[in-house]
This record gives sequence, structure tokens and C-alpha cells, in this order.
Amino acid sequence: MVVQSACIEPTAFITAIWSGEEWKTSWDQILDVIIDYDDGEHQALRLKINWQGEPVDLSVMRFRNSPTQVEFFCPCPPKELNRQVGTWSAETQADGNSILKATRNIVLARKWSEADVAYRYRSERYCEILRERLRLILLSFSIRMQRPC
Amino acid sequence: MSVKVSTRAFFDASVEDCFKVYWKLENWLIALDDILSVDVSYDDGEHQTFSMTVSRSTGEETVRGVRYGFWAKRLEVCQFTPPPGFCSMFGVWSFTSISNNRTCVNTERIFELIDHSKEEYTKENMVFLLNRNLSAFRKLVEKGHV
Repeated sequence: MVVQSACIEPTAFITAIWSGEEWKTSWDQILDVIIDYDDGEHQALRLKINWQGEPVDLSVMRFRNSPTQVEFFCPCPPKELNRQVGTWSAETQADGNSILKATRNIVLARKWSEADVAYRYRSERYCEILRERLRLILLSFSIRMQRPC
Repeated sequence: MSVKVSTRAFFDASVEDCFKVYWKLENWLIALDDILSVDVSYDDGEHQTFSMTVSRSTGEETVRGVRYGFWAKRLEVCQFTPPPGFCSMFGVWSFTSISNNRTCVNTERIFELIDHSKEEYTKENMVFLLNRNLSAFRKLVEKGHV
């Protein structure tokens, strides 16, 4: 889980996360967003992202559980992964700031005859890169959407 | 304007088995003889993407969508490609344990039609289809097929 404190109204943040257009503006590692279906609660979208300098195509299904939470899974995750699910959420704190949260649950695809220790190392390394990326995404949205506290 | 219909049935089976029989989409081919094909393109145990082709009096219909499973509690479906004539189609099955071997299965559909004048007929037809669905899956799970 990655968290970021920001002066953003929680629903506005999640609405921005839900919007394909906001992603194009707020995060420069998104190369393309195509929304195939969106009824306000369910969304099917295709993304092209820049991952470690390579363009990667993703298919993502998202579900807006509440005004302040989005859950998703990837029927076509990046090729390194067997599974990727996660959430975006936001909540107001007592001091008036908001806490923005991103969680991920991933399973790295195992290489043929890969030793346990090598697999664990690769998984940890991938998680580190993903955590840093999520931190930058939350930071990027919070800078763009910051309002006076 | 969305329309909601619901119905329920009691199955002589555990809540886990009732959930499992619905979750496994291949079972739809066994339970219902108007299902022509089912293709599950993704299943991680909690999420599924699928397409299903059904034979109707008006011809074959293919729906596509996603299902969310909340183990032994609830199963939700959203059809990104709903049947012809529908703007949207969502469904929920909820499973409530009555005892070790008895479960209440409640099912509902929330939909919007392109032609709203057909709502009353469609609601009746939908309840008929839901009851048929419940009856077919009750037979399947009570025979021990999960």
C-alpha cells in the first residue's frame, strides 16, 4: 500500500482517477486510454503505458465501490505478471487533509525452473518499482489537484 | 430509468456449494439447454471476464461482461455487451446460509431497455427466466455437481 497526504477533496480525487482524460493530464507515463464501457459504476478500459521505458498494453476492469473507492483487476496484466488487482481510495483526515491510498496485489509470472530465491528477489524488486511508481502517481495527482487547505 | 426484478429459491446444499456452482461458468452449459457456448477469458477466483451465447426465439444472443465473486456471499455481473434491446444489464446472486445443507439463493436483475414501452413484458419474462435459472441450478447442485 502507498499513501499520500494531500489537500484534495476525496471524491474529486477518485473521480479524477476514474476519468481517462484526467490520467492523460496528470500522469505523463500514460500513452493512451481507451474507455470501452463506463456506466459510472463499472468500467472497461484499455491502457498503453510506459513501463521501464517500454510501451505496455493493459486491459483493466474497474468498479467504483463508493464515491471514494475504486477497485480494479487486469484481465490482461503486463507480461511479467499473472495477476494484478488493486484499489484507489481517499479519505478525509481530522486535520482537513486527505489521505490518498493505492493498494496492489500482484503475482509475478514464474520463469521456467526458476529457483525460489530468484523468484522472491524478482517479486520484491518488481514491488519496489511498483511502489515508487504509485508514489509518483499519487504525488502527481495531488500536485495537480491541490486546493488551499 | 432502470428496472429491478428479483426472485429467490431455497437449495438443499451448503452455501459454499451454491456459490461454486454459479461461479463456474462452464456449469451454465450443463444447467441450461439454451446456452450455446461460454468463454471465460479471465478468472482469478474473484474476477471473471466472459462471453456467453444464448439461443432465444429471436435468434442467438451473445453477451459479454465481467463477474465479481465475494466468496459464498454474493456474485455480481455487469454485461458490457447486454442482450439486444437493452441499454444496460446488471445482476446479483446473493447466498444466505439457512443451515449446513440449506441455502437461500436470491437473484436480481437491474436493467434498462431501449424501448421503455416493453418494460412490463420484459419484467415478467425476466422473472420467468430467473426462476428457470434458479430451478436449473438447484437441480444441478442438489445432484452434487459443483
